[in-house]
Amino acid sequence: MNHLPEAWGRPRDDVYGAYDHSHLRPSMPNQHTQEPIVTGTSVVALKYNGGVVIAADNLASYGSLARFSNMERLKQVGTHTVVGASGDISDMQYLFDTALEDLVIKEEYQNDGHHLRAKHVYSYLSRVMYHRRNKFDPLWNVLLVAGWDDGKPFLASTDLLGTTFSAPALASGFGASLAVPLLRRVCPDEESVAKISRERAIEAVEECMKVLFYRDARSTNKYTMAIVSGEDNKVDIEWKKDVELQKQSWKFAEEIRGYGAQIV
Amino acid sequence: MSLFASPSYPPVGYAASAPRQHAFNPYTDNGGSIIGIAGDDFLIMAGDTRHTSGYNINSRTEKKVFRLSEDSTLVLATVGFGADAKDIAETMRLAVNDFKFQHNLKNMTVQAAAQYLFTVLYGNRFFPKYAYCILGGLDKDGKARLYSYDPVGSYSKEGERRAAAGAASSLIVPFLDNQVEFKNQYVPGTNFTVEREVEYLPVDKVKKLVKDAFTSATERHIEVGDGLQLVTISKDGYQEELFELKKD
Amino acid sequence: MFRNNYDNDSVTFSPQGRIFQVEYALEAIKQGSAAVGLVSKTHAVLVALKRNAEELGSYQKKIIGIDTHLGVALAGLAPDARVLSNFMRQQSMSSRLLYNRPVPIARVVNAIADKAQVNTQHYGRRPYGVGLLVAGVDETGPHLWEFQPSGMVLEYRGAAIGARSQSARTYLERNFEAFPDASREELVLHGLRALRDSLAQDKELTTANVSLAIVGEGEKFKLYDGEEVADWLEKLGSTQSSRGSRGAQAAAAPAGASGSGEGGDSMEVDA
Repeated sequence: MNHLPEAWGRPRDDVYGAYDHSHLRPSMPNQHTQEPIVTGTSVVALKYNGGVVIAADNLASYGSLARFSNMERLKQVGTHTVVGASGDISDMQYLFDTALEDLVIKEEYQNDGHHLRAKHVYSYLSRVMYHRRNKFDPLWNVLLVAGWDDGKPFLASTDLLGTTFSAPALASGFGASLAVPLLRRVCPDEESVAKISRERAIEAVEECMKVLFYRDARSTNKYTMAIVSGEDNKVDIEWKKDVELQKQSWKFAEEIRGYGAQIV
Repeated sequence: MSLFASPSYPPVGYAASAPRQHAFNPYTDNGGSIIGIAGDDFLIMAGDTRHTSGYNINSRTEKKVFRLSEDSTLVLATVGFGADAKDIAETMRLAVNDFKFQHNLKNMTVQAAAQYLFTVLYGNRFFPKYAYCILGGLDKDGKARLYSYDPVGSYSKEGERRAAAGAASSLIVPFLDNQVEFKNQYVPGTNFTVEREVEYLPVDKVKKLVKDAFTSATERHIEVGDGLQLVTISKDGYQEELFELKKD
Repeated sequence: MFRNNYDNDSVTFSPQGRIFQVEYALEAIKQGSAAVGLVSKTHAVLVALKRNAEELGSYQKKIIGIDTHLGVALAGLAPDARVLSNFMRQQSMSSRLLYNRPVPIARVVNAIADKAQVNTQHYGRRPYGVGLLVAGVDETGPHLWEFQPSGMVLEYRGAAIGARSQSARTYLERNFEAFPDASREELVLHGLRALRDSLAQDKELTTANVSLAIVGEGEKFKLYDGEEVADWLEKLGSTQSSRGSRGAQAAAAPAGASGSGEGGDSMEVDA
C-alpha cells in the first residue's frame, strides 16, 4: 500500500485501479480569444467643420446568422466622446459596460473639474488594446473614437493589435474598403474638413450605411448614428437611434448575377 | 509495493488532446519608409506619412519621425508594425523626459539615448517589438550622430552616415550608398581605379537626395506615398517640413 | 518639546487626542529653510532660500522639477522630498502614457497625501519629515498646494513653509489681493519680497542662496538657480529683509508688523 502523503484520502489503486486524472484536469490550456464569435460589422465616421458624425448598424452576427438585431455598437463616454466598435460583441461589451464605465466613474468621482475628453479616452483605449495584444489575449475589435477636443473635431482608430491612426474619414471592417473611398471623395484631407457642413457629413455617412447594406452580407438596414458637435469648449451629442435606411434602390442588383431574374 | 514507489499521478501538464495553436497573430506591417542622413553638424530625418493595412490606406497623415523632447536634439524615426513603433517612440520620449528631471534638468546625450534604445529593444528579445528604428541627434560638440537598429536592438556605437528602413528600404539603400557614401563612384580620368573620396554633404543637397529617394520610392512601392515629413536638426534646433507625395 | 509616554510611535494618541510623532514631523519642516509659493491667474511661482550654501559642495536642492507643468519646493528632510518627488514623477509619467494628459495637480497632490497618511496609521512607520509646496498648471489653471507629513493638503493663493516662514506669510497675507492679476514679473517679485522678509537680520538674498521656479499657462516649468537669478534680484532692489533692518528700509517696512519676531529677531525657528 502506498503511504506517501499524496495518496492520502484517495481510493486505493490496488483496490479501485489507478485514478483517471483526465476527469479532474481541464483537457485544454486556458484559452484566450482566438477568433471573434458574435460580431458587429463596420463602423463609419466622418469629420465636418463643427464636429464628427459616427454610425454603426444594429446587427450582431453569429457567423452568417443574423443573431441579434438590436445591438447598439456606439457608446457615449463622458461628455465629449462617442466610441464605436466592430468585431467581437462580448469584447465590446466588456469595454463599453465595464472598462469605460469604470473609467468615467473614477474620473467623475474625483470631482475636481477635470474630465476625460476624446483624446484621453482614445489614449486609454489604445493602451488597453495594445496591452491585451502584448498578453496574447486581445480584445477582438476595431474601435473608432469620435469627439470634440481642443476646439476641433477628433477622430481616430485603434484595433486588436493596438495599431493607432487618425484621419478625417475612417471606417472599420468592410467599411474600410467600401465606405472610406466614398467618404474621401467628400473629405480627401484635413484641410477640407472646414468646408464640410454637418448636413453634408450626415448625408455622406447615410450614403455609406446604404452602400454597406447593399454589399455587406453581415450588415442590416437599421443603424445608430451619433453627431458630436462642438463650439469652443461646449459639446453637444445628438443621437439618432434605430434609423432605417431610406430610399433604397436595388436597381443595380439586376445587373448582378445571382440577384433578381437571371439573364444569360 | 516499495515504500519509495512513485505515486501514480501523471506529471503536471495537460492530459487529453494537445494544446491548440493560437491563431492570433500579434504583428502586422503598416508599411512606409524612413531615412536618416548625418551631415557634419546637421541631421536629416525623414519618413513618409502613409499608414497602411494590406492594400488599404488607413491614413495619409501618420508621422513616423518623433521628437523625443522639445529642448533636446534627439529625434527617433520608427517604421514597421505601427503599434510597436509608436510604443518605442513613447517609451523613449518618457525616458528622455524622466532622465532630464532625474538629472537636474540636464538632457540625455545622444550616445546615452542610443544605448538606452538598444536596452529597450533587446529587452523585448523574446517577444520583439517589430519595428526598425533610426535615432539621431547632435552630440556635445554639435556633431551629428546617427544610429540605426534592427527590431532586437543591434546597432553600431560608431553610428553611421546614412540609414534607411521600412518597406522601400531595398529601393532606397542602394541609392544612398551611391549618393551619400559615393559607392561605385570613381574619380574621372582614373579609369575606375581611384574611388571618389567620401565627404559630408551640404544640407540642401541632403534634402534634395531625401526628396528624390521618397518620390522614387513612391513610384515603385505601393506602401509609400501621400506625404513626406522632413526633419532637420542643427544648431538652430528642430525644423520640420511637410511635402506632398503622390497619393495613388 | 518634552518627552512623554505617547510619542513612541505614530499609532498612539495622547490623552489630549494628539499624535506626537506626526507633530514632530511637522517640526522637521520648520528646521528647513524657507520656501514661498504664490499663484496668479496665469502663473505659479516658487521661491526658496538655500541655507549654508558652501563653496566646497554643490548647492542644496530646494526646488525639484517633476514634469514640464509641475514642480515642488521643499522644507525639511530633503531625502524624503526626493522619494515623494520620484513618486510624483511616476504618477505624472503614467498619466501621460495612459491618458495622454499631464497629471492634474490636485490628483498628484492627493496621491502623496494618501501616501503620507498611511505613515501616520501604521506601527513601525515614520511620517515623512518634509513639507512641500506644489506648484503647477493644468487644464483648470495654475495651482499652488501645500503638503504636510500629516497627510494634510490645502490649496493656497500664497503659502510659505520652513524656518521663519511666518514673516513671509505675513507679507503674503498683506499683499495676496494683488496676486491674481499680477504679471509674471510682479508675481516673482512678490515671492522674492516675501522670501526676503523671512531672512535673519544680517542676511540677504544672493545668487547663491535663492532658488526660483516659474510655471505658467503655455510656459513650461523653469528653474532658475545661481547666476540665473541675478536679474531677478536686480529687479527686486534691496535684498535685505525689510523687517530686520527697518532703519535702512523705512519706506518698505510694513507699518503693522509688530508681531512676535519683530526687531532684533534672534529666534532660530519660527513658531
